[in-house]
Amino acid sequence: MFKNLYRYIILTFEIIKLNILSAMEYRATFITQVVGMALNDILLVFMWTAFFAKFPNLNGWGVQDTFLLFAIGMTNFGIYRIFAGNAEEISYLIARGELDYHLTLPKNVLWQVSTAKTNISAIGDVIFGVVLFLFIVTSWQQFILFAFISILTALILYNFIVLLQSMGFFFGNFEETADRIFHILLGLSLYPSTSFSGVLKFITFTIIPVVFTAWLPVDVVKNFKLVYIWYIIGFWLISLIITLFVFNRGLRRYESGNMIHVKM
Amino acid sequence: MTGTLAIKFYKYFEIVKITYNNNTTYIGDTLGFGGLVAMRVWIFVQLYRLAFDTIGASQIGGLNLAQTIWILALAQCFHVSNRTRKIMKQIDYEVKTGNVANAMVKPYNYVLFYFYSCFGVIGGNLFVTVFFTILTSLLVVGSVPVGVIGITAGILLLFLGFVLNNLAILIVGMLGFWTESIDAYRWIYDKFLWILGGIFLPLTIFPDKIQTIVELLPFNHMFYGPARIMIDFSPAVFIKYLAIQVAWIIIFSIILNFVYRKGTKNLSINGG
Repeated sequence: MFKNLYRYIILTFEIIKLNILSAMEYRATFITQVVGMALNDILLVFMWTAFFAKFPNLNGWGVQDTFLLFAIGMTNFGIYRIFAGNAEEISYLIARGELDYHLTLPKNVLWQVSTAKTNISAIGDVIFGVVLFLFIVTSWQQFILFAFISILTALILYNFIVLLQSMGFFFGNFEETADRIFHILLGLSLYPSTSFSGVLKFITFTIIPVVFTAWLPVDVVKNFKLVYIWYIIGFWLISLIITLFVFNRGLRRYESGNMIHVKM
Repeated sequence: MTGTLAIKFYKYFEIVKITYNNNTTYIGDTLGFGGLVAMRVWIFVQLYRLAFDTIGASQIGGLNLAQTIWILALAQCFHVSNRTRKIMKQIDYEVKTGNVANAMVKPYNYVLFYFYSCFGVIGGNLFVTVFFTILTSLLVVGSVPVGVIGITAGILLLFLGFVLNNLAILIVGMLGFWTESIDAYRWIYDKFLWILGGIFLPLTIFPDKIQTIVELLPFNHMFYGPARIMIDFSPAVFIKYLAIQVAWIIIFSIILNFVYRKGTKNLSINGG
C-alpha cells in the first residue's frame, strides 16, 4: 500500500512538472499569471490593512492575525490548485460526459482527473503566501509547522472541492453552484474568525469548513496547540472518507457522453 | 436619417433582449446569484456590527451601521449583477480563438454589440439580486429612511455607473488583442473595485485626504456612488458624483475607441 502511495506521489510530481513546463512555453502568459496573482493577493492584504487601520482590534483579532491567515490561506489554496487544478472541472466534465477519457487510463480516475491541469496563477499564491509568512515567522520550527499545516489544509480543500464537484453525478448540472459554494469558502477564509457568531459560525464548522482550512491553522501556527493539529488531521480523514465514498458512488451513476477525443 | 437611427436602436435593443433572455433561461442560476448576495450581506453585517462595536462608534463618516450595511449591500448587488468576469472572459475567448473576425463582419458594431449585451446581462440578474439584497438587509439590520428623490437620483447614477463599468469591462477584454490571457488584469481590476469602489470597504473608513482622492477615481462611481445617493441623498454630492461620472464616461469611451482600433490592427487571423 505504502509502495503504491509512494509511486503515486512521484508520478504526481512528474505530471505537475510537465504541466508547468508546457505552460512555460507561453512565457509572457506564464509570467503575467504568476505576477498578476501575487499582485492580486497584495491588494487583498492592502484592503484588510486599510480595514484594520480603522478597526484595529476585532475581539482580539488584529492585523497580524490577518497576515498569518493570508499566508496560510494563499499557500494552501495555491498548493491545492497546483497539484489538483483540474478538480474544479469535475462537474463540468460529468455534465458533458467528458469523463470518458480519464476512465480509459490505467491509474485511479480521481487522481487522473485532478492532476490533469495545473493552475499556473496558483504559483503566484504560493510565492505570496510563503513570502508573507517569512515576514511573520519567528523560528524555523514555526516555518516547518506552517509548511505542514499548509499541506494538510490543502488536502482538506481538495476533499471539499471534490465532494462539491461530485454532486454533479447526482444533480446533473452542478457546475455554477459548486463554484459559488467554493467561493463562499474562499471568501470566508479571509475574514477574521472572531467576526462571526450564531448560525454563520455553525456553518463554518460544518457545511463550509473554514474553521479547519483557515482559522484553526492560524491558531496552531500562532500558539502551537497539538490538540488542534489532531482536530485538523481528524477532519481531513473524515472528509477524505466521505469524499471517496461519494465520488465512487457517483462514478457508478456516470453516463458516458460517447465522445471521441484525439489527444496529441 | 431618423429611420436609420430607429433601425439601429431597434437592432441594439434586440441584442439587449436576446442577452436578457439567455440570462433568465436558467432560473435556478439567477436565484443562486440572489443567494450569494444574501450570504455576503449576512457576512458584512456580522463584520461591520462588530467593527462599529469595537471602536464604540454609532456613526462613521456620517453614516450609521444600518446605512453602511445598506450601501455596501446595494453596491455588492449591483456589482454581482454586472457579471464582469463572464463578459470579459467571453471577449477574451473570442479574440484568442479568432472568432472575433467572424463577429466583426456581422452587420453590427462589435464594441456596441458587447456594450449592449452587458445591459442584457444586468437586466437578467438585477431584479433578483436587488430583491434578495433588500430582503436580507431588512431582516438583519432593518429599514433605513429613504426618499423618492434619492432613489430616482440613485437610479440615474446607477445607469451611468453601469455604462462606466461596461466601458471598463470592454477595455480590459480588448487587452486580449495583445496578451494571451487577460485573467491577471481582470483580477486586479476587480480588487480595485473592492478596495476603491466600495464593494468591500465603505469609503467612509478612509482618512479624509484619501477619501477626496478616491472620490475622483472612477471605481467609486460605478456601484458605491449610486448606492450611497439612494441611502443618503444630498443634492451637492449628487451633482458632484454625476459630473465625475460623466467625465469618466467620456475618458473611458476615448480609451476604448483607441484600444479597439489599435487592437484590430494588431489582430492576425489564420484562415480556416
